[in-house]
Amino acid sequence: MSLVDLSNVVKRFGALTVLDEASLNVEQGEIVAIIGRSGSGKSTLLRCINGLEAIQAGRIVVDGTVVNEPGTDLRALRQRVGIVFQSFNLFPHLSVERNITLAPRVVKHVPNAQARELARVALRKVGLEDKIDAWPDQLSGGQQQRVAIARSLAMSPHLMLFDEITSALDPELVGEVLKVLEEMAREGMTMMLVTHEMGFARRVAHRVVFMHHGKVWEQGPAAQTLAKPNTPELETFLSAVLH
Amino acid sequence: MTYSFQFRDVFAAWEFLLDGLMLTLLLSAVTMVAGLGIGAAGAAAKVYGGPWVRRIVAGYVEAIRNTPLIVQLFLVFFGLPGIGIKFDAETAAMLTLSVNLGAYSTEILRAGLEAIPKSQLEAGRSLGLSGWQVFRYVVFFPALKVIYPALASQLVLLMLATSVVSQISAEDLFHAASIIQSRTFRDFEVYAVVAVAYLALALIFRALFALLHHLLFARR
Ligand SMILES: Nc1ncnc2c1ncn2[C@@H]1O[C@H](COP(=O)(O)OP(=O)(O)OP(=O)(O)O)[C@@H](O)[C@H]1O
Ligand SMILES: [Mg+2]
Repeated sequence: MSLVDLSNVVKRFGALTVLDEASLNVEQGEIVAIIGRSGSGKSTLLRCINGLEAIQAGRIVVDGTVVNEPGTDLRALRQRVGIVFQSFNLFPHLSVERNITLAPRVVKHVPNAQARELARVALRKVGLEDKIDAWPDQLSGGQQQRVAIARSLAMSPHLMLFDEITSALDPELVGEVLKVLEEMAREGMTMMLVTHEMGFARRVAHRVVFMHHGKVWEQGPAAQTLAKPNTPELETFLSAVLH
Repeated sequence: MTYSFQFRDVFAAWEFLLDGLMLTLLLSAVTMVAGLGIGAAGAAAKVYGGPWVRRIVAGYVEAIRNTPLIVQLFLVFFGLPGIGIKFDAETAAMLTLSVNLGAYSTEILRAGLEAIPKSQLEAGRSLGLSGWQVFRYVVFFPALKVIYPALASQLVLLMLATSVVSQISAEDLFHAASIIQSRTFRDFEVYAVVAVAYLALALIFRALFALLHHLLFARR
């Protein structure tokens, strides 16, 4: 069974249909890059997967949980699905350690001493162990984003969602964040990432998914799909972003 | 002719002043707790409540903010007995001041809740926190920090505004001053003394709020 299974998902905001019968499967250990024009529904797709947005039709199954059912325990699901946003969204009033240990402590009831160790391990993975006692506003954008990744990792998720996590960063800081993702890829984490970094998608992703008008328009193995698109829409999109 | 100041008679009545001061402090303390409680409920209702709840709370807030405190006080103390609801002066004072502060603090606390970006709430929910936990661990502290100066000012204003209760014969600091004035006819001295007393109280309140601010928000 796929780790993520979306079938014919319809999401509307009022009269606007943002996801239009989108279907997509992601297997355990797979890395899927999601690309597409602004407004094509990429962020919405990720937000539906962890239940931040309710859908109007279709079916979403994640890690064995049907997301869009009335009785679904979304809190339990979200402990297994990490999401990292473009704007980091660290909690400004908490130290790096507290940012990372908040959910383990209050959701999983991990004792304080153990939680600090958890933070240390997560920070080591993103190369920021020395920042455990820093505050978010003392960190660069790239460091903040790596802490946000560590915060998700500390919950030991089965799936990670990344929504344009390098788009708000200065170009020279993009590399350090992508390096963390590559390391996670090597460790076998299942990842869905919305990205504009085509080079990164080609290098790290197993599969590329092109969203267009709220549909999964075209998908296939990363290198092949990016080199030889099947649809004119993807071809147009690629020539626009690659020049 | 030069006026000769005579503070002796005023200070001779210090027990009066002290009793008055006690009621002023008690009124301020009770009202702060009750008023902030009302304000917290009002703000939560305004931000998270349904349309009807929001409308009712908005009506309450506007009614209080657009009428004079002394009129509210008279309505409760002299008006309500007319329809069979009677309070003693102290109770009427506490009730009116609490309802009054409740309206102002509803608006202040609401602004605090709304100052927290939605993305913060989503980050909390995405980590598996419940709605209450998001409020408790993600929203509460930063929201309090945003509104702290406004809230502290409002509480100092409230303490000063308690002086209005002397108008319904509640025996607060200002009431004591009026009594002493009528006995000694030392108008300037007595009102100068209470003015300084209120000033000192206000400064002490502000100092305490500043200390609390430091304890709450300074980084360890
Ligand atoms: N909460 C919302 N209410 C109303 N419309 C929304 C909401 N969120 C998204 N939309 C609309 O849905 C459409 C798809 O948005 P989405 O954020 O999923 O696009 P995207 O592919 O991630 O675009 P971008 O590359 O700009 O991030 C857009 O037209 C957007 O304006
Ligand atoms: Mg987006």
